[in-house]
Amino acid sequence: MSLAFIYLIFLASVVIGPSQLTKWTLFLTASGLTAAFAMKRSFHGRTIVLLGMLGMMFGESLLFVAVSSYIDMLGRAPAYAVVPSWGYFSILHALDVGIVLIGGVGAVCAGLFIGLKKTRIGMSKMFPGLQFLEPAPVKVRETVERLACLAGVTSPNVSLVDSGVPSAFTVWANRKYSVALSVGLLESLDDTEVEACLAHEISHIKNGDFIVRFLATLAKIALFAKPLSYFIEPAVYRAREFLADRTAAQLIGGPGALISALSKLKDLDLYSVKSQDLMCVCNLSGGKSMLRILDKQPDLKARIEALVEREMK
Amino acid sequence: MLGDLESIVLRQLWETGKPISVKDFQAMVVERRPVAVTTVATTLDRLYRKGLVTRELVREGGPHYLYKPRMTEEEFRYAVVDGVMGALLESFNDVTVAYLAQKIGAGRPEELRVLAKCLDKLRRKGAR
Repeated sequence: MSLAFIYLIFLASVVIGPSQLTKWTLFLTASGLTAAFAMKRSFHGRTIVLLGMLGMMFGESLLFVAVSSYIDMLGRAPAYAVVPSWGYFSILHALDVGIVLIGGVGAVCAGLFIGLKKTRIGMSKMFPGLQFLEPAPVKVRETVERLACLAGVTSPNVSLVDSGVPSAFTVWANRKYSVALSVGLLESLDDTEVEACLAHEISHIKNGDFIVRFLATLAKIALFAKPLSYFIEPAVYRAREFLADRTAAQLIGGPGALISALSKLKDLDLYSVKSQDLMCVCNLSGGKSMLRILDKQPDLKARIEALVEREMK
Repeated sequence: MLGDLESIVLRQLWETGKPISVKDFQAMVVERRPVAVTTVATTLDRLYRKGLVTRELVREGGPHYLYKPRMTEEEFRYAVVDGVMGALLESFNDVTVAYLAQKIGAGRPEELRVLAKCLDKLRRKGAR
């Protein structure tokens, strides 16, 4: 439903969009992709479609820069002329292009800066608000190793967070993936449910969600002048959550334990718990955004339903 | 200051009177009120962050916390009244005193006697 809404705005923005040249290309591509998506309910497909949209929006702006600078070279009027409509160009277009360029350069610089700096710091520096209890329990570490082996990824670090709030997340810290889980998660879920949560986190690593999210965020920063990107980025995040659930169910041989873990965590939705964790196993902030469509985490009910639906097939 | 569930949990903790784990606690409370373990865990964590309970980590049998209240019920009540009245007396001193005098004077001899005793004590202290 929310994805359909995004498509609708996307198509609308393409149709009323500025440049004639790219307008129809975009329109046709978008409708083609929408049709392809509608036929196959795949979260991988969904991610590709969404990232493709961001790419097309960026490409459209770049194409515009290329064309306008070419015409500049021919000695025609500058593209950024303060003339509302100069055939192909207008002040609005020039603004659009300028902003995308600044945004693009800024995003890449920021990405590189954060990427180079953040990958070297450890978990405790990355989350100054959290206390980490060393070492993580042997049982959890063994489970993680087994799941990582099953998924075919390098075994991540495991850390235990000193918090009673049930939560688990994965980050890229110190040039290695780290899975963190709270004492609260261990004390309120049973072993198979904890395993299911860990499988969800490992699935994020297996599906390469960090790169996907990085690309989506980069595109969002670059396209900050295009409001649509604010809808697309969270949609990418949500699609990856559903995908991680599906992969986790495959890893642990059935969605039963994951469904039961998620339904236990669902009760927490009532209590708005703050979590700035990067990849929480569940959305503890329950309906923070005014619009569900802006949430980066799908709500737990939807995730449980998706798992059940898949099982029924 | 305290949420609905928070005060239920805190009261239960006072009744229990010994450090208790989340799972045991939930088993005890669930008869009176159907709450999930995850909810109990979060509520206790919130009370911990508010400084109303203390906890220690036990590693045996899987890491878990043992929670116990930081103060007794009386100490807690005193702390609440102290917080509210302290702020009132600071900001609206004369109004608060007048209000108290009026409220307590209005046909509650028992409270009036307590107040008189307190005032007496203060006066004696001041004279010394």
